Amino acid sequence: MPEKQEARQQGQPDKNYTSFEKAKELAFDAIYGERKSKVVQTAVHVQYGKFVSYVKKALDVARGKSSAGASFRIHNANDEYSLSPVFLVKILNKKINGQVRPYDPAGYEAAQSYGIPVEDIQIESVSVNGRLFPLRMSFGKAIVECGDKDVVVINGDPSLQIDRAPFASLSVIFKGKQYGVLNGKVHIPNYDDSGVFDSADSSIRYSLTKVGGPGKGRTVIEIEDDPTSELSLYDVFFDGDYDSVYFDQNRSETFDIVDRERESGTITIKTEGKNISGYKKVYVNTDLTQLFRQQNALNILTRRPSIWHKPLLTLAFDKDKFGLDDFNPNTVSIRYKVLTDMNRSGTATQRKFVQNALQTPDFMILQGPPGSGKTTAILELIYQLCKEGKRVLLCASTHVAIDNVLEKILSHPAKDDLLAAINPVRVGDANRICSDAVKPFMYDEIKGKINPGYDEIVDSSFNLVCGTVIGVLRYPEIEKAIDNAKNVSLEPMFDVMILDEASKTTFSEFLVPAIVCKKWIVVGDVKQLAPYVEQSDLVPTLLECPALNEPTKRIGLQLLYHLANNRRKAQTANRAFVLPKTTIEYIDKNVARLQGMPLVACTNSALGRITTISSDDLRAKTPLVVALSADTATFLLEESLAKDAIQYLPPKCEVIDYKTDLRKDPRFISIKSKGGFGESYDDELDEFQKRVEDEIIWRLIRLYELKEDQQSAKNCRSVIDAYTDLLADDEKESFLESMHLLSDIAIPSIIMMLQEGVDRRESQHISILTHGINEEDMQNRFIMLEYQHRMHPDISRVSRKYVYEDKALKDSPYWESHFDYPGKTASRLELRLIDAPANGMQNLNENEANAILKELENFVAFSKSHPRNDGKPYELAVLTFYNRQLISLRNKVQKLFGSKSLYNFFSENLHVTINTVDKFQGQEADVVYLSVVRRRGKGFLDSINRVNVAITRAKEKLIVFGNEPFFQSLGNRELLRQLYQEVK
Amino acid sequence: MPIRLTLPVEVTVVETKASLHYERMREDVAKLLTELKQGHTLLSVFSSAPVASAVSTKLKRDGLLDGSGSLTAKSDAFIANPRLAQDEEGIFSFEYCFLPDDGLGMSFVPQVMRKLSTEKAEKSRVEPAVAIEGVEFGIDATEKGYMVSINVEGNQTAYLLHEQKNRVVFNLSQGTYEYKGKRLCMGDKFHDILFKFAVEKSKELFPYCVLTEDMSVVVLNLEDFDTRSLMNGVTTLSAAPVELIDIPLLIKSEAVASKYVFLWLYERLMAGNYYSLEEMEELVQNEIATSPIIDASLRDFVSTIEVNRNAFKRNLPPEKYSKLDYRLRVMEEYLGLETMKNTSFSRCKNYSELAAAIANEVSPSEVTRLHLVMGYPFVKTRNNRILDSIDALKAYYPSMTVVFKKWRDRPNQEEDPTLRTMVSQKGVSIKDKEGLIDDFHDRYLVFDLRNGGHQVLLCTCEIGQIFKPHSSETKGNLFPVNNAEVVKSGKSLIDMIKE
Repeated sequence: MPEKQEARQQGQPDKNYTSFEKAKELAFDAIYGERKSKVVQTAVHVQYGKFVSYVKKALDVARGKSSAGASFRIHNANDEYSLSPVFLVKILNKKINGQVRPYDPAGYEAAQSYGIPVEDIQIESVSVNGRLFPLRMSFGKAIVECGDKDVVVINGDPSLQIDRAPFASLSVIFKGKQYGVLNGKVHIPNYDDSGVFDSADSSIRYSLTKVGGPGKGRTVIEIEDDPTSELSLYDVFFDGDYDSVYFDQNRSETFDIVDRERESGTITIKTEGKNISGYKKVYVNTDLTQLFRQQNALNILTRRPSIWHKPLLTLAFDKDKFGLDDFNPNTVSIRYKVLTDMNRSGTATQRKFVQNALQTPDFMILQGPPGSGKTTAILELIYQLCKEGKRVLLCASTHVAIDNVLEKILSHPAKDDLLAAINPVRVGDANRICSDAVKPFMYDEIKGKINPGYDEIVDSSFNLVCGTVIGVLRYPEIEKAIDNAKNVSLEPMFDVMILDEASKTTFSEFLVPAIVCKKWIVVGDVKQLAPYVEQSDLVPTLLECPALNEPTKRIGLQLLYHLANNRRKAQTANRAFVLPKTTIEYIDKNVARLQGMPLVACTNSALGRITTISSDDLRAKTPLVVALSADTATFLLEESLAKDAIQYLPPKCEVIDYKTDLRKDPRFISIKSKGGFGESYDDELDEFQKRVEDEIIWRLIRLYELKEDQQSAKNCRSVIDAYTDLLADDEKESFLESMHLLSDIAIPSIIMMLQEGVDRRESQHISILTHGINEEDMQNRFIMLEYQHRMHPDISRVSRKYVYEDKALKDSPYWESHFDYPGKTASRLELRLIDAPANGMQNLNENEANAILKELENFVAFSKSHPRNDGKPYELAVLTFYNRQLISLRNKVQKLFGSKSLYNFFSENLHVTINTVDKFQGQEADVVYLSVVRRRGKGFLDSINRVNVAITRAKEKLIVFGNEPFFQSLGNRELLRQLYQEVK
Repeated sequence: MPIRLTLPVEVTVVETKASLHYERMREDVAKLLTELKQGHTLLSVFSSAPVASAVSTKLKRDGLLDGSGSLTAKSDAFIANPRLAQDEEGIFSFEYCFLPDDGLGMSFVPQVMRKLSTEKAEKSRVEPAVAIEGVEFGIDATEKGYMVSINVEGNQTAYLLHEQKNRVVFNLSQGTYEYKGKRLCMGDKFHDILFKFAVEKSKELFPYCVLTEDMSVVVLNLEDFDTRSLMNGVTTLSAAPVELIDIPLLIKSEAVASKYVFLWLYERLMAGNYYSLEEMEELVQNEIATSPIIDASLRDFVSTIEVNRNAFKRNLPPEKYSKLDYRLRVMEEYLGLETMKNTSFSRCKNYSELAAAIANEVSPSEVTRLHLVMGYPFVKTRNNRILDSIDALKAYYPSMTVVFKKWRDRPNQEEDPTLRTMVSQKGVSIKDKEGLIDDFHDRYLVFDLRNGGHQVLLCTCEIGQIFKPHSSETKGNLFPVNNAEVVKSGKSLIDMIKE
């Protein structure tokens, strides 16, 4: 009798067991015993299910992106032109009591406070290089077309101080057609030298100069978004993490991307003579590997864990029922190779860490402020582990953290002894490693010299495998284990994983390499930067909840938010929004939450609450149509009725459309074509184009950054609360669930999770991941390094006092200076207060950049004539928080050094690095120049961790370049304000 | 010559979490050790000090290098049989094969899968059987290993899948077995067990013969085997579960050996061959005594068997003897002439006398080269004294060639390569002439004369075996023949040996 039939007759369930199911049972039984196994499996399913579903959504989205093909247009290289420079000039001086006074903002403020009249000086004439220039004004500023070095004089009075800010058009008009501008360049087919005009201000005219094109072998294509697609192709092509594209279905032939410009919608690709004109659609060549590996890692953990994975499973369980194993380390005799100097402050603590890390049954956390010797302690631990015959996986989020450890081995006096025990291999892209010294350890480099017949011998000989949490997964043994793990069990092949810079690694990122290890040593500083989270990666999870699962609802919610917000409400008055019919219905359904909003809808839907004008009313011009001319109202126009309704709107009413730009009406504004930033154009419209999902995600990320700053966090939270309040009751719960999923899983760092848990909520299940490791369990698993050996005490004191509350970052009495920084100021921490340009682009401060360049020029001269006593070059880092400022600094530094390098510049006895603060975490320099940039609004500088990283990189000298009014505008709890107060 | 054992097995699939200890062939490690043996260093092989250091540590841990980095005795053994221990933990599907036969009652694991089946099963606490060590098994589709042990934690649960009956064929000669299309090694331990089992089974199944440990079948009685098997020296016996296919036969008793000799001669004679009795004795010495069917302990005995009519009568069954009787009488009367025996050559007591007698017949001063045209010059038997004959003849004829008459289509009897070398070292050239024997069955001494002519002596037996073993009595004789007699079927022996 066939077996199945027999089973049926015996009344047994006719179930086809998958190998997964059986493997899962066996794996859990092996860890927890048959009796407990079922309960645990359920708990794992529930607790880790959140992670599984998060990764699944991310994968779905990535797949969606990879299948989204965009129509495109090939740019003719001959059509590219640069715009002639145009400046907005204003007078900085003011009249006090009728008299022109030198520029002195504090003085003006003081005068005003005493009731003395302070007036602006009107611009009456402008001359350029002595020649009078036709006067054209825009918002009180003169529009001047001139070069950088031309002399501009206002009102014929050279003593007047002026500010001239470059004017950046977002788009220009040529022969009635609008063209997008990016980085001062525009593509116009058939341009005829007649000049172009700014699309927002037709009084601004540019002459154009032909640019050379994208370069040989390269082609620029312009992506066309598809308004009918749920997925924005712009998001796919300009937000995603990919580095090549392919055309039509020809996946085998990919083209590397050289440049991407979101604003112009253009991508420059390497075509190397290949003709792409026959293709119809372009696709991103998305690498889903990382997400697949995250999914596989979670599958392994939740479906067939090894006994070694028990601690990882325990993280998600109810803390009261499943705790970590008892851990009482003994004092063992260790022959230290690296931590040999007991006179050095903190060595005893470092040794204690090594002792405990060697004995821990699961986790060990090493927390240390900048320069506290975390890398040194890691190195000793690696040596001791390798000496015992253990295999170690060293990971970090950044390449530099990994390479620091390897470099430390190579520069150590006991290098030969270390390398006799440690056989390191560096995995990853050779172009991404930060030090040439590390190159001989690159996997391909080593394997390239060895007979392939010995592959297995060599691979199994590596006892220190290093790479970023993502890059290291390319190590063949790990790759094979994780990628092939769908049907087989995986037993960890590494004894210990050491994760450095753990404040920048999320739990999901940590989990993939962690799955191939038996114990985990987490090293970092919760007071440093949080993981970098790609905003677009989080959006899909949010969009799953019913409240946001349709674009029409999202547009409706965003508009409701504007209408409900007192500050923004005014911006909606006398504006008409062209919306899908369903969005208008959505607003009508939820409008009850807003009180007394003058809303008029033009739609064929039967609305319940909002005054409604139908197409019949428009045709018949019924008295109801009069409602469309009320200039205090906000108008909601259904797409199909918008054209007919526009004629009845009040004369100054602006029509804002979310989707198409089919209108000819001059009042019509298409949000899509208005994208961008800058203060020179309408901030109000910028608000309307923000998407609700981006707004929420951005705030969730910021909330994590502001864990320590309750006040700022409250502001962030209030926006999310406002959105939540606008939702129907039946949608609120799932909306909050989605947000919790993101704030619990996608954003926090592993080191923060282990120590403090995530965002704690009352109803939340209490596990290590939500509430951190118990104090009792933490006792021997947590070591804090208290002493810092990097910085001069002047530099460390602000962070020590305000960030570490004098509990860490203590100064080592043995810190030695290697040189005296030239200049009058003796303090090693200096604040240079620079007047901010009165105008200019956001996140760009030319005055600071110029001041830094001047300081740098002086130091270049100093370093030439004063080589260091130890023969090493001076290490100098120019840091800023903003990319735009970085670009400006880079241009200037490139000119100074006559180099086209992007990050590193060399002169006699000097090595200069320029970078953003976020990317420089984990690195140090003798001298740091920090450009704060901002003039107003703290932006993300309210993150204490970010500022802490910025001011703890310098060893000998830190100069902070910033604007005094900005520092003064900050609240007393802001670290930059505290720095200002301490140093000014 | 496979000895096949086809045994019923009860296959049980156990799926559980376990640690699997096995050995894997590591030719790469053996190759590395060989390179080290040849004087290379780990640093020169790997060009990286940390890699060399780490590999050295590993080899030391495995006992393949000693503390000073030199190869150990274990490394030599490893090069010859490069199996390295490997441990693997995980969830596996083990196929256990239980041999239910009386006298076996043991299990081996022929296949391990890392992926579990989708087959339905109840979970239970199963103590998997102990698998025989050293048996090669398949891992997933392509990998193989040699079983050391499977360890399951005491409380570990398992899925006990189907138990089905099957048959596995073991090739005891090759030490392999076949399982699911894979040929796998049985390993020494398993092979010994099954071979002993096969021997015991054979005793029951084939009582007229004995399967020996060196995988031969001892012939207890010639009548139990057909003539063809006896002549070919191999037999095929089959009775479940044992199959002995083309297994060598072995004669270990003098009585059976005597009977076998005369049966062998009978078959030759009945096939139309004509030999003198001396020739037949020579055949016995050269062909039968050296044949693998005769146990080594009986070779001397067989070499001394005298061939005469009475001996035929004693050893052949009457019906066979009666068929041969007339022929034997003819041989005695016409081929065994007394006159031929009583010559100056037949009276010689040793090779010196024989060489002198030959020199007396063919003057050495006239001879430029002597060709010894023989059928078994290098045969591996203690009676072969070709070296003595060469030593003696060289005193008279310094230039000599041994012309070896090789069969064209069948191998000659077992040759002693040392003997060939020693002959060569005596300055005697050797010519292997394939097919010469087709036309010239006899042995000859061909003398090249200074005048360009030739003189030929016919030798009735191999020159190296002309004296009976342990005796000074000659077994053969020499007598001159006309050059015309060494031309057969238009082919001249003299021309042929000079080609």
